[in-house]
Formats: sequence, structure tokens, C-alpha cells
Amino acid sequence: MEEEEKEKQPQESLPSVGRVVPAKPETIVPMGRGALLAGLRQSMLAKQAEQEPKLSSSIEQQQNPKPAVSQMSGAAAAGDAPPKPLGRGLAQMRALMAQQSQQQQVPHQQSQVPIRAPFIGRGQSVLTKPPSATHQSSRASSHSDEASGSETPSEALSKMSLDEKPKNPNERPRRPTVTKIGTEGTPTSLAANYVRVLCKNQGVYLYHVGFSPVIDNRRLKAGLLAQHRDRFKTISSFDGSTLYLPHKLQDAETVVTSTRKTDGSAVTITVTFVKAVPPEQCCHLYNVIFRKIMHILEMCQVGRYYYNPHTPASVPQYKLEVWPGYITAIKEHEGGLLLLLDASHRVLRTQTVLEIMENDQMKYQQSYLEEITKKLVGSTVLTRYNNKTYRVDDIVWDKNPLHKFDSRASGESMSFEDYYRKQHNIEIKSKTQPLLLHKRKPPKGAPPGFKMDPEFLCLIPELCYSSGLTDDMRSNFSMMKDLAAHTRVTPAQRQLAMKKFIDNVNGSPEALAALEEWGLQLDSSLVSINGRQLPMEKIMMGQKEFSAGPQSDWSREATRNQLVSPVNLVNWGIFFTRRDASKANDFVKHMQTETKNMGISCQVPFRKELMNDRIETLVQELRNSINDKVQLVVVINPTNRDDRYSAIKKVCCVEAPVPSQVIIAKTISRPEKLRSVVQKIALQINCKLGGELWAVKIPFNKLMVVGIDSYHDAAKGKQSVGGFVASMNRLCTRWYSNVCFQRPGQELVHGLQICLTSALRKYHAENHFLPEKIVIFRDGVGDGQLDMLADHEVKQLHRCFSSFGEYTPQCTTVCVQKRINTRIYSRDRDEGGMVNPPPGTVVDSVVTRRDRYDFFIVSQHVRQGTVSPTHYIVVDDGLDLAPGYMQRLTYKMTHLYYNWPGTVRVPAPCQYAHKLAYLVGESIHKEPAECLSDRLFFL
Amino acid sequence: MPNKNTPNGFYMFMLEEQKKIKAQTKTTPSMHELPAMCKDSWKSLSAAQKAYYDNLAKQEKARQRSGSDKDKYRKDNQRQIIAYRRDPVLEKEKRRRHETDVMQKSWRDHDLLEIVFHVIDFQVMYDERHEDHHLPLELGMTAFTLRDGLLKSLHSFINPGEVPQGNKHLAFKHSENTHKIPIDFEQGDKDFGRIWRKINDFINGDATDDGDIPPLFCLSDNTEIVEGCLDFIYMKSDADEPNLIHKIYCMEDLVSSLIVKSGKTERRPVLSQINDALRQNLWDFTGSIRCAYHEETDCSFCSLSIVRRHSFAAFDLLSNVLDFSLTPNHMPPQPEQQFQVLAPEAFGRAFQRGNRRKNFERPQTAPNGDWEDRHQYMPQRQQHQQPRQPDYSVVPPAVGRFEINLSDDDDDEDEDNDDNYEDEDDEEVKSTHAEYHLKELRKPKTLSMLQVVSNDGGNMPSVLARLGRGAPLYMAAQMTHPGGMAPQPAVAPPPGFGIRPTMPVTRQVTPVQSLGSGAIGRGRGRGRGLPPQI
Repeated sequence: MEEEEKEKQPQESLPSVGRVVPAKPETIVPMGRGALLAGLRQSMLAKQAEQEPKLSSSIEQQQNPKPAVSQMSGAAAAGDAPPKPLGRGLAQMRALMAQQSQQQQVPHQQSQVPIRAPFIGRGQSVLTKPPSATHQSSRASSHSDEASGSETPSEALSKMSLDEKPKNPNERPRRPTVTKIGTEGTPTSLAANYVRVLCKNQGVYLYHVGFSPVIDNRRLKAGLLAQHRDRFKTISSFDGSTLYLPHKLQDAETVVTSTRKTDGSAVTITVTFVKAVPPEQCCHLYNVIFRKIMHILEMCQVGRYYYNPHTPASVPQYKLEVWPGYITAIKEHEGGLLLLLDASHRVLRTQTVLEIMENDQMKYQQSYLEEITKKLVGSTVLTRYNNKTYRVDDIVWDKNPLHKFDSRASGESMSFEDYYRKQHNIEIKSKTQPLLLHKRKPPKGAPPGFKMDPEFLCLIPELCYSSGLTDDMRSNFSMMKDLAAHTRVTPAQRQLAMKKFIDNVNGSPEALAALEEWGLQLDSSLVSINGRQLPMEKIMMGQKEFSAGPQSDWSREATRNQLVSPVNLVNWGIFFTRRDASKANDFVKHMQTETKNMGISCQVPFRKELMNDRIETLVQELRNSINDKVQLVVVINPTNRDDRYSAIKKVCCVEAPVPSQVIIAKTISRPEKLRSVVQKIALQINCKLGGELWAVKIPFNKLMVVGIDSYHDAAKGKQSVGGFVASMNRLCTRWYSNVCFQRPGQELVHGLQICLTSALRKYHAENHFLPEKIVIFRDGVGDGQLDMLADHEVKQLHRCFSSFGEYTPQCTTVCVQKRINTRIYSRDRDEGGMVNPPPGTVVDSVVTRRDRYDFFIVSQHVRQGTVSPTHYIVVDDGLDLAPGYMQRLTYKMTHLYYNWPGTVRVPAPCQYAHKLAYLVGESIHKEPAECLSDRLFFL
Repeated sequence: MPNKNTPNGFYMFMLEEQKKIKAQTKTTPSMHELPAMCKDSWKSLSAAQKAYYDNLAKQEKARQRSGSDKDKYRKDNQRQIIAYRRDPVLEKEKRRRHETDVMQKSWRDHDLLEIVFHVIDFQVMYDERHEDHHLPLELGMTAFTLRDGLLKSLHSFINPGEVPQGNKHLAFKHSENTHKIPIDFEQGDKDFGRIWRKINDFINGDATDDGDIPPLFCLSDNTEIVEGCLDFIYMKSDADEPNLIHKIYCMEDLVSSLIVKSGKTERRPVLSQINDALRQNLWDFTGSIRCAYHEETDCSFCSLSIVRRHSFAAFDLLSNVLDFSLTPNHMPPQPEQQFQVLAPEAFGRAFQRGNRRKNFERPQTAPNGDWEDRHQYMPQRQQHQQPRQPDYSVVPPAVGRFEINLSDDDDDEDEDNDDNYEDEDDEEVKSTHAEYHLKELRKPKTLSMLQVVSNDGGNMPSVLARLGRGAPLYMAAQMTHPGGMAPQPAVAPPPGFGIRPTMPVTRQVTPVQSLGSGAIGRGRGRGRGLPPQI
């Protein structure tokens, strides 16, 4: 049937052109899929004829189809390129092949083809090729014949088709190397969790594999190719159409024949040389090799991590065990090919679901059914036999492992017991246990009402382990402490783990062979980097200046000095339930005494004692009491209830805008801690009222710093929220905030544009000039979206400037990434071991991206575990600041988060934007009132 | 895979047969019926005849591909004809437009203020995109006219039976996140016939002159849920009569149509704005409009309260536009006062000493208008509330640090008047502790004293009943006597330590809620006193 269709194609398949342009006898004009292939071949030929293939050449062809055709035909006559029957083979390609094989004798020097972008994945190279010259020319000529000026919709549609745009990032020309190294600070010697990968070979050789007759099944293709293992030596990288080989084959085109086992027919396999790839450009291949090595080392994969189930550390008293694991990634960095290697841990419970059920049955004699259902339904379980996790959606009480089901593979009816014995060689002990039911989720984008087939999976409780820690366990302090001994590792331990991994690899002959095959070798030690330590910042407060200190912590000074701008508490209210009356008393008393040091004069608040702890009462009372004169309301919540908090914030941020402070009664119940708690709350309240706590010197004039973060709610139907914060004064201590909502199908940047425009307006209103320099710190962008951010979003944001007339500020956009696996260590001066680097450590070489302007800063100080640096990528550098200054400005920004008297992990504007987006997304769901936008009401 | 949307020989044959049948019988069999009718005769055709039809099909195919209307047959990569693509958003829009037209037509010769509108809402077991059914757990309906406000309401819990297999988790989660109705709720009605009758009776009373069932309104996001739930109830009810409730309209359209109808504005208001206005959270936690169960759980996802809230919001939006005045029927009843303002002395001596001077000089030094304003403002509010709660005359509110004389409140109670008389010379009394204490002592403390004070022994149980949930006696005493004093046990503690001795002191400290909530919320297990981690 399909064959037939293909045969028909040449006559029928010109829907948009109308008639076939008579072509040269040897060029069949295949359309549809055939067009791609033929086009590919022709454009390849054309390029080779040119001897200097550039991407632009193909574009020229598009614009100028006629010469391209002639070029093509000339090249075809020379015939120095083999055909490329890529992807799904087509019947008419056979004609081409036959014709090509006649031209085989002509010698050619394929290996000298300059290396272009790597070909990755199957068939991508096919898709991304520019459209065939023939196709173009025929279309062009048909146009001229018909003299139709406007193109029909179908024409437009076909233009939009995949083959037009070289969209694939792999097809882009290799980006230039970017090296931006600052000079600020004192040089220090550091190390990072990277290992240098040495490659002895010149590179790898990329081949294309074609099958005739065409075969679709990838496994079958691999099996056929495997029959010639001795000839190709290593075929593990075969993905269905491309094959990487560590060595060069003798001929540019090798033709072998295999027999298909199913019917014994002969299949011709054509292996064609495409190009040679230098080692640093085939990271993807090396990552595949490392995945193989992980399997050789018998690690099991969970997510992107590989864990070793053979050497677990067990915590028997809590029925837990910890699997050590690693994440690996080979990438090309400024310092060449590096292997990122980070230790990770997975906490597993050793208690099966069946044991939990039995325990509960003992515990709740009568109502155990409900209790167990409540406990288990919704939890996630792990089955060790396949290392997969499932969510329990229901419990089937009326079935047991002896229950029979229809096996899909064999079609026969078998019991669960038999199935597990046969499939996994597991003997199920308890025959009377109920079964857990998992409902399979339809794939993303499935139409409503879509059902999976089979819709339900039954799991045996005996074989399921609860995964993750329950809230009970998390709140068990001693247990978490014991666990932390295993999971929170110091830099030295981390380094040991890495050493061990390298030793494991080098100690396993099989793994070594896998590496050796490709000429790879792991360096034995971590890469060392020359980083720099930025100078400590001077913190300015009301009357005093002091250094941030080596640990970047000034909580002592913050509470004892006068603030930069204290706001007097004249008219404020406190709401509490009767039970918390005494706590409220103490709180107010302490507020009065503690705020004196800060320079705040705190008057007695009006106090409202609530008769009960109902939300209604509180909300009504808030509404009654809030008027224009009220500066602040403080609510003491008896418990931590989300709906109560949300109700308070809805009233205080939207309905009757007033800064509000919610305190959980427990927090202020311990008299010995009360003083320090109140001090922190007082600082927080001061920010919420628009005050400033401390400042650092910002060397730029007319600068505006912007922070953007987004909040996504996994729950259905809720929209994403973008938080936007912009500094309003020179010291970057006052902030304007705004939020934008991103409904499905909208882009966040449209909302951000509005935010930026209003921020600029506000800036002008405050300062009477517009900022000349703008630095945008953008959080919440993954690696995959970096290009989108750089190409699209930045430009969109810049469009706001035009609404201010002739206004073109210098604008730099920095992407902030905090969830990264990079770790940076500093050498301990005394013992020579590895320790956490101090705050202010900057790394901008070796481990940074090759093609980006980026740097790492360790800005926070941690007391346990390993510090994690923050990665900053300057995607658009309109400000053109020296890298050192950029780094210092970023580091300065981490000092300005007013909820913490120290440095934080990300620049303060990002942290503020995060807080804002989180508050709005979680609690308010509406835009906060405009009049609060000039203060940090969301802290 | 057969190419479904492409004509083949059999298809062409069927088309021809269809024409023949039509000529003979004057009926047109549909494309679904045709294959069964034609398959035998197709099989009996000779190869040449079949080839003829195949050829026809080929021509047809070529015509589809290259004819002038080829875009009509263009397919996407799943062989679905692009022109047949359905856009659910557009379709819904179209439906709403149509419904709005119908609705506006039906108002033609009616007074807008007199039309009875019905609002409906369901709480469902779960709301999952991939489930094609909706199981109702709670029903709430109201009927209102714009002039008279709410007329009546209907509320019922529904027990739809067992949770469908595999959806228990969804049901648990949805219940926990929203309405808090337990699975297999004992208050749930299992008699669907009765529920269906209730719904019908509720609406039928207001059938229009031509006997049409009036439309039911709900928010545009919920139309599917409401329709699904109504269908479910109807199906389960085994009712004999046909289902006449099929007009489920969007409340946003109702409001916007009414605004347009009023003629006050040219432009149709933005629907999302109306949606926002209808969903406003002003009455989310107003207890008196909720059902008893949700009142007890203090939950705002109550169908009864939702429909009422929507109605109130609609009144609020429309009262200016359509010129009707808001009566108590247009507003939720004002809830009783449930707080107490404490005299500053209740906060103790140490505290007093430090601030006394400031406190009492502040009114003179404060910017003019500030304090006076509030003095005037609060009593007015109180007066407004008073008629609604005639049996509840306690706790004259005071604002800020100053007690306010509210003598106009309590004219009917002699003893209270006495107290109020004392309150009048407030300024002197409270400036010293001794005097303040004296005044305290003169106030009723025990139940019997209270009864004397309130002059109404029979009223006490009702006062106590309102407290509910085991409120201690002295709390009742606090509530029933005026003056706004601090919680006082029978023996007053020395001023300055106004803590009840029975008060348990919890010895645990969690980090300040918002001080580090970013850090703590994430639960990364970092101890206190560490920088917030994201």
C-alpha cells in the first residue's frame, strides 16, 4: 500500500505548484519527503562544488534559484558526492542510488570537507537542510507562469513547513569563544568538581547508515548492522541513521549485506562518511558513553542521577537507607572538555507498604481501612525491581496477588504471583494482601477524556517501598540530624566521593575499555582554577559604617544601630485571639524597647482581641479597623493556616491596602528567644513601611537595577505569576514592585514590558530623570531558554524605551541560575584539604561556558554542607561594563536583601521578585494595590 | 493505516448509491449508515466496475489536492482536515454570544428589575480535565430580582456514591484543597429523585408566562461542571419527565447584558473584569451566608455562600447602573461583633510607666482631625450595626488607646447606662491605676452579677449559646458587660500582669512567619539562623 503510494508520488504530489516543471533527465522531481532528500543531495553537491561550504551558500540558493540549479547539475555531473538516503527511504531514491553507483569511480577527498556543525540525532540533518533548489525553482517558475502575485494559503502553509528554517540549534555556526575575566579582588587558588577529559584521538568520524530495502524498526536496523561488528568494531553509538566511529573506515562508502532473520532476505547497508568531528564538539556522544559506563558500574538511574544500590548506608533506627550517587555531564567549557561530577544521595525507606499496612492494622483495630487509605492514597511508592515510582491512587481491597489478569505480552491469563515469579523472579510471600492501584496519567496535550490503555496498574504492597520522607519524619529533628550526617557532606567528603568514582572507573577494565575505545582518559584530579576573592563590602547604617565581615553576617550590628531610614510606628494595630493575649502583650512591650536602638519610635498600637479564631471574625475586624491613618496591622495567628494567612493578605494587599505583618503565636511564645525574634520582626516591619535598613556603596549614578522572577503553580488552572522589582534610588535601597500574570497561551514578557514601563515612569517621578543604565537580573530561566531570553525577550523589553521618546539607556540582562551542580572548593591553608570558599569568591574562567559571558559567585556563607555557587550569565551586555565591575555590582546586590542581615544566594532584586511572585501566586491571586508598590510589603 | 479522509472507490460508489436511494425513497441515508447498505452490492461489482469507481476516486483526489477549494481538504500531519479543526475557545465564545442574544430577547417586554434570576453552583468530587464526568457533592441555588434582592435559596449536600476506581486520590486532594466535604458524607442526600424535584420546584415557581424554564446562571468557568452535575442528577433520578433544564448561562454575560441594557454605557464591559468583580473575596468568610457545615469548618468553598456571594456582587455592580436601592436583602447580614478592644491599662504597669506621658499627650499633639475623625467614625458604624442585633448590646467598641463613649447604644438597659455614665469621665478615671481598678471592681464579674446587670435573666442562655464550643463562663461575662475591658478572671491579677494563671505557655519557637518563610517553606531542612535559601 505504501509502496504504491510512493510510486504515485511523482505524478500526484505537486499540490501547490499545479504542474511539474520538466527537469533534467537525471533529476527526478520528487516532492513531499522525496523532495527533501533529493534537495539535500543537490545542495550537498552544490556545496561541495563550491569547495567552501558556508551556511549562507544555501541561503543564496534560495534567493537565487536558477543558478543553483545549474550549479547543482554541474556538480551532479562531476558526481563527487554519494547520495544520502537519509531518514525513511523512498522508492525513487533507488533511482538516484543506481545512478550514483555508476559515478562511484570518480575519486574524491571527502575527509577534507571542513567541519561544520555536528550532526546529531536521527534525521535532523535532513530536516534542517534548506529546501531543494529544484523545489524552489519549480515553484518560482510556476509562479511566473501563472503570474499570480499573491500566494495562496496553501502556499503560505507550505512555506511554514519544517524544511524552510534551519531552526535546530545544532545547525548553527559554532559560536565564538567568549572570555571575560575580571581583575577585581585578590586572586585565590580554587578547585571545582570538574575532571578534565583527555582525548587522544583527533576526533570521531560521523557516518550515515542507509538500508535498502527501507527498514523502520531501529532495533532491527541495529541488529542488522551488528552482523558486521567485526568490520565496524564499535556500533554502540548507532541511533538508527547515524553512526559515530572512533576510527576512519577505509572507504568513504562501505556497502555490506546482512540477512534479515525474520524472512532471510538480504538487506544492503550503505555506510557513508559524512564528516570528522573534533572531540570537543561531540559531548553528546561522550555523555552517552558515560551512561554506558554507569551501567557497567551497576549504578541505577533515577532522574538524571545514578545511584549505587550495592553500597547503601543504612540508618536502621529509622528504617531508612541512603544510596550514594552521582550526576555526570561532559560539556565543553572555557577550559576544554570537562566532566562535571557531583555526589548526590537518595534516601529510601526500607519499610514496605505491606509492613506499613500491617502496623496500621494493629494500631487502629476497627477503622484501619480508612486510616490506611488516608495514609497511603496519594503517596508515592517505589518498586525496587524496576526502580520506578508510582503514585497510589486507590487501594483495591477485594483483590490479592492470586488474582488473575490478562497478560498483554503473552495474551494468557496469569496471576500477579506468577507474573512476578516469571518476569522478575520474585516470590510473593503474603497471598492475602490487597493491591495498590495506580492510574496512569494521559500524556501532556491529550484531549479531554483521553484514557490510557491500560488505564490502571496494580502494584503489590509487599514489593513497594514508600518513597521520600513524610512530614512526620521531616519534623523529627533527631532523625533529620542523623540523616544529615549522610546527606549533607562537607567539601572534603564530596571530593573523596569524586575520587572514588574516578578510581572506580579506572579500576574497572570494562569501563576503561569503553573509554579507551574512543581514546578518552579521565584526569586523576579535579581541575584547579584561579578565582578571585572580591573585597568585603562596607555596610552603611544610620550613623555607622562597618565591614560585612568574613562571614558576611551583620545581624548584631543591624539590630543595634540606627537604620538608614527608620519609620516611626505611630498608628498601628495588633490583632490576636484571646489565647494569645499575653503573647501580644509581651510582643508590644518588646517592640517598644527593641526599636529604640534602631531609631524607630514605636507608639502603643490599638489592640483588638478576637473572640474566636475564625477567619470571618478576623477579616471583618481588619476591614473595620483599617483606614487611611493606619500604618500597619500585626496579626498574631494561633496556628499556621494557609487559608487564614491568605485571607489576611487578600484584605491587606488588595481590598484595604496596608502593610501587614503576620506572626504565628508559637514564634513569640518563648520568652528567652523573644527579644531576637522581635528585633527581626521590627526590621521587617520597617521595610514593609517603606523604610531602609542598610546600604552599600553603589558606584554608578543614574542606575536602575531590576529583578524578575516567576512563580509557577503546578496545580491546574492557576496562572503563572511574574514578579518584577526595580530600584528607585541611587543606593538601591528603595524598590518599586509590580506583578504580571501569565495566562495560558500568553507570554510573560508582555506583562514584563508593562512593568518595566511603569517602573521607569515611577523612577522619573522620584528622581526627575530616567535611568541611564539598567541592569536586569532575570531568574527562573532554564538553560534551554537562554537563547529565547537573549534573542526575544530582551528585545521585547527594550521596546519599552521607545515610549519615552528619544531614550536609549544602556541595558544589561543577566540570567541568574542557582540550581546548578557546580561546586567550588577552596584549599584550606592549614591542612591542605578542601573547604568551602568564603563569600565573595568569583570564578570566571575554566569552568565557565565556552560561548557565553558568564561567571560564578559564591555569595552566601554556609555553616554545614557544601556551599553552592550561583551562576550568572550575561545574555545581553548593553552596559558594556568591565567583567570585574559587573561581578562586584552583582555581589553588592546580594547584600541588600532586608530580610536577612547578611549576603544571600541571589541578588536582592531577584529575591524580592521571588518573594513577591510567591506571595501573589500562593495567597493573593490578584494584583496587589498600586499604593503598596513603593515599599517591600511582600517581605 | 488507512487514509481515512481520502476518497476511495467504495466512497465514490456510496455517494452514487446515496443519490439513487434518495431518488427512490426521498430519504438520505447518512454516511454512517451507507457502508452497511452498500457493502454487498460493492462486493458483487466486477473488477472493471470497481476500477471505474477507483478512477473516479482518483480524479476526486486530484481535484481536492489542486482544485480551487483545495484548502478545504488540506490535512494536518494526523490526517485531520484542517478546515474541520475545532477551537473549543471559539466555540464557547460563539455559544455565549448566542445565549446572550436569546437572553436579551426574552427580556424584551419585562421590567429588568422584576425578572427573577437563578444562580446555581455545585461543589464536585474532583475537577479533572481527563475525566468526562462530574460528581456533585453540594448544591447551592439562589433566586433574586434586582429590586427585591435575594428571594430564596436552596442548599443540599449530595452523596453521589462510591468514588470511581482510581480517583480516590483526586477526590481526597480536591476535598482538602477546596470544600472539605468528606468522602461518603453522612449529610449527603442519596435520593436523587428528591434532589431533582427540589431543583425543579425551585425553578418552576418562577417560570415565565410562556411556561419556559428560566435559565440558570453560573460563572463561565463552571458551566461544564454545572451541566455535568445536572445531567448526573437527572440520570440518577430516574425521573419520568424530560430534562427541561438545559439553559445554563454565564453570569458574566448576564451582568454585562444588564449593563448594556441600562443604556448608560455604549461599550460592552470587559468580561474578565466582571468575572473578577463577581469573584471578589469581600464576603468569603462571612459566616452567616454559609451552610452550617461550612460554617463550622470555616471554609469558603460552600456552594450556598458562593451563589449568594455572586448575587451580592451582582447587586453591588448593578445598583448604580440600573438605579435600584440596596436593601438588607441585597447584602449579607452584618455579623455580630466578636472582638474586644482592650484598655491600655490591660497591658500592664511597666508598659504604662514607659509610655504614659506619651500616650496621654498624644491627642493634643497629634495632627488635628486625626483623632476626632475616628471618634466620629466608629460610633456611626456601631449605630449601623445595632438595629441588626438588637438582642446583643455588649462591648461598645473603642478605638486605639481611647475608650469611646457610646451612650447612645444602650438606652434600654439601666445598669449599663450607669456604666456608661462612668465612662463619660473616662479621661480622669483611666489615668491612674487605682481608679481604674476601682472601676473594674464595680463591674459585674460573676454570672449572677451579670444577670442583675443585664436585667434580663432569661437572656443569658442565649448569650451563652452564642459563645458555643465550651466558652468559659468568664468569657460570657466579658461579652455581656460593656466597657471593653481586658479578660479578667474572678480575681483580678495585679495590673501589669494581665495573664491568666491557667494559661499554658508553649515552649516552642518556630521562625517568624514571614521573616524567613521563603526559607522555611521550602523545607530544605536548614536550621534557624541560616540565610534564606531558595
